[in-house]
Amino acid sequence: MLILESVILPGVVVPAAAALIGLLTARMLLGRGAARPGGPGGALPLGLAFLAAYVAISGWPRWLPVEATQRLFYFVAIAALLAAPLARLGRGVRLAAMFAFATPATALLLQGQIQHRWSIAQSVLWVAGLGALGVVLAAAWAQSTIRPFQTSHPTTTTWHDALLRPALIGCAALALGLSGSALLGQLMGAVAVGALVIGVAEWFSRPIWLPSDALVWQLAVGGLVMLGFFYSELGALPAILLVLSLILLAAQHQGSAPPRKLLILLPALVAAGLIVYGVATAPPDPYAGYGDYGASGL
Amino acid sequence: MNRLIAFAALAALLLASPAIATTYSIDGSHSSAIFKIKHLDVAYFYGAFKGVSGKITYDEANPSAASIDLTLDAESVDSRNENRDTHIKSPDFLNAKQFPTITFKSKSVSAQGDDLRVTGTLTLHGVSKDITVTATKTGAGTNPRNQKQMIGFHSEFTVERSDFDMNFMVGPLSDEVTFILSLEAAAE
Repeated sequence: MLILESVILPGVVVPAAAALIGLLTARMLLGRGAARPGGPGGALPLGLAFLAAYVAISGWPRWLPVEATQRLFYFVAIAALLAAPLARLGRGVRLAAMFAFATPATALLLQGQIQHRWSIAQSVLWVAGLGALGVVLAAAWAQSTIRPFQTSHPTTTTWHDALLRPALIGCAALALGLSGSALLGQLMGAVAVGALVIGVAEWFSRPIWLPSDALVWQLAVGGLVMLGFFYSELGALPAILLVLSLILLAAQHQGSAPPRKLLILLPALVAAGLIVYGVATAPPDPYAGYGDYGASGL
Repeated sequence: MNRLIAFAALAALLLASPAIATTYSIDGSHSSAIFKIKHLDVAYFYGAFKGVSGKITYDEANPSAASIDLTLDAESVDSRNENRDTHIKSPDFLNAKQFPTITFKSKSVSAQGDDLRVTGTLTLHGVSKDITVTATKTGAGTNPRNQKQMIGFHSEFTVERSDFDMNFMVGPLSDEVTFILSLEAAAE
């Protein structure tokens, strides 16, 4: 009963329902995609899946947000709303706009590190570097959504295309849960559920994802991995491998055989799994430096 | 006679020393900061913060002028299980890497014998909220090793963690968290 109430309901049922509602809303608001290459976009359903799961798990975040996950909530909400305007921009301008939004968002998410641990130089390097990484993620995302003949003959999504993104995000959810934060793991799991709903809809219907969905993808998925690395105990190697797996999504092409995609992505997934296993089974680094009773001798 | 009275009054005035509050530094190795929270509505679970520091200002002659500035190191939480410690420090609860300290700064004190009603600002998980706690002076004396004046206080108070935006798993873990503080401080 506890698992049902605390895990399955808020982490699976609620995001799945929210993603479905988001899909229907996107189709109603943005049309069936006949005049839009690629479809109505997955930003709204993916964003709603994340937001609904957050509220179901932790309640509505305060305004003004003070904590990193609260800020991520509002950033994902804004990103979901920006997807439609971003879709109207050219590729270069869109990537620049995403960088302009995501980089300050990254700084605010990492405010705890900037305030308590980093020098100014370290802060600038980390924020600029992660902002640039976000652009790479966004460009890779845009590449992975390209469909040949998309304006008049949208290509049918195969089952492995539909399941690849949810599977990758599911691995990330598992890694975050094992890193010590069930909350981050559940939120990433909710994103995986949202991506699965969209993937299944694509499989039965028509392509949905758009290049402009990258901002939501970048913030929801990349943001959670970043929080896991900086605020939980997600190790550097698992974080790097997870990000690499997401970037390697660009390697897939519509119409290519599954074995080719698996050859590209499987090593990354296996390596990520091995690292996650190593992180899960290794003894955590004990916190040292306290408990010295020798100072006064009493 | 009038001169005698005037002289006595003047002498009393000169001899009466003004009340001087003493500032004490909290001795982290002899102070305890414990918390308890109910698990699955069955039993209380206790943990501790090993990093305790701060200052207490206290004047025996004027206890209402006392003040306290207490800091607990959130990353020093100890629940006797390293995996659980990691979980407590994670964004699920304290988010200790973003909010490395838990602080209490007094704003006003009213004294009732050895009990002090202390109103102050508790900052926990990045959220600040005014609370009022009762602190009892448990003793005072001189440290035989260094001859420094020492003082001790004990306080127990309960907060709701949801007031400080720690909403994860409310239900399986109680919303109420009780802090039990025993502070030993030495004069600076």
